[in-house]
Amino acid sequence: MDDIHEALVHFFSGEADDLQIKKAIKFKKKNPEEYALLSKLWDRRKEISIVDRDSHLAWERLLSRIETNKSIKNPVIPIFRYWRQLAAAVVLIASTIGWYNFIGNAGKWDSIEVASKERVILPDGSTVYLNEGASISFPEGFNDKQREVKLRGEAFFNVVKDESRPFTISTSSTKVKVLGTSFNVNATNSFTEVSVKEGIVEVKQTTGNERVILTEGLAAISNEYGLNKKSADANFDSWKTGLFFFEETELQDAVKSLNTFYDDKIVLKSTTSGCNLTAKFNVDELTVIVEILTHACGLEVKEMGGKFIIEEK
Amino acid sequence: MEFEDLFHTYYSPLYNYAYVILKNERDAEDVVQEVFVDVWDKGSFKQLEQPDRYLLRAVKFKSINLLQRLRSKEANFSDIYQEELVLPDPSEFKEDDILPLLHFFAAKLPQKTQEIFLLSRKNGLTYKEIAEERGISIKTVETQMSRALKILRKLVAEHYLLLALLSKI
Repeated sequence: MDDIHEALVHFFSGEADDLQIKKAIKFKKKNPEEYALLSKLWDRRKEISIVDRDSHLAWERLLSRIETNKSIKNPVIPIFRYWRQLAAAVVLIASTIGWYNFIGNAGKWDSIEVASKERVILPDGSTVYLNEGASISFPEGFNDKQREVKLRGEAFFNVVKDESRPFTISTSSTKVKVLGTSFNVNATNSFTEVSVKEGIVEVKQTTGNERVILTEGLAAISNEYGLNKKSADANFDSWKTGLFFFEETELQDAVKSLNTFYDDKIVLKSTTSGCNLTAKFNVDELTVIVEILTHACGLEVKEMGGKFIIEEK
Repeated sequence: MEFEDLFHTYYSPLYNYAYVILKNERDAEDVVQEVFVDVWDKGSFKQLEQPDRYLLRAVKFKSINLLQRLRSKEANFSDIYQEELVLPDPSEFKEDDILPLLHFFAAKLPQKTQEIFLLSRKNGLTYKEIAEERGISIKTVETQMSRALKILRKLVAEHYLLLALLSKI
């Protein structure tokens, strides 16, 4: 009986042999409506583009939502589910370099500083991906009026939409305000850069009245020259996603970007300039990437102590 | 089915369904999350005999609702920010569009089947070309394609009335 599916599939794609054609036509005569529907659906699959989503991540978000939702009529969340979250939180704290209080007033604040990339779930279910060395602090529970966190270093935010409680991030020099969206913040003592992946983000300087509104694909940089708008770097969140787009990018710059995700494993010893790359990488094996880079630029690669040394031939 | 299993089974298919309507990751995720919070609140997931139907209807309702709300807010937003905003237009979403459903179906396919099913749509690759690209045998490609159609057929049977209506046979 499976033959019929194989026959139809071949028939739809014009690759059927005589026997399969006969079978498909027989099916069509017997079930004209079903045939019409199937062939239409089969044809329209060209328009499908599936987004791969991590349901486990979403599940954790859902759990924190259910927990904070006071209107639960059926509060039988099995205890072990709480424990799983709690355990995750404990591991996170244990793996931090240290935790301390950013500010002493306004309730208790938790601070987390990470040595390696970590994901943190905030009390409202928003997720923050911290890059190495970044630290974030936030209250144990957000109040009714706003959700406020403080950040040092680089982080990618996925903020749960809540129009009644704006979400703000304070850095050394700016205040970033959003309603619900995803974006990247890189904050050092001397500058803060905000790049938006989705939604609307407002960036204000702590001192002065300068303010910019950013939408998808835009970025703002705040430094000694003030607050300026620009278009976001194509790879601003690659340190988290492992996706890289290079378009006529200098080899040196490409290597610099790649190293943010691949833990500085590429060492560029060649000083050749003028080699521009156009390429797309999607969490590929580093060996493959390095091979492509060196091949494209006519260089050579050596593997040493877990690092890839790129040098002239 | 346990609630957690229900979630993992349907999360991605529903997300893809909502994404086609909303064209925005954040909103699609929020809508699907909200539907599951509702299901949990009602404590009724064990009685869901046909979760497909119930969940699809809920996600569709919430998505269209959200589009309309965003649309009416657009004016206010522009006032505050004095900048032009790009929001999806609810009228772009046609009631008779089967594309969201097709995404739901495709996302439900087993991983391997889905890969080959979707690969074949690209530039009209022949089975031989797909086999070469993936480094597998033609037989495997054929088996996976047949499997995809078989599942699609089963889904069509389950949603027959709905689909027939949508595609106006």
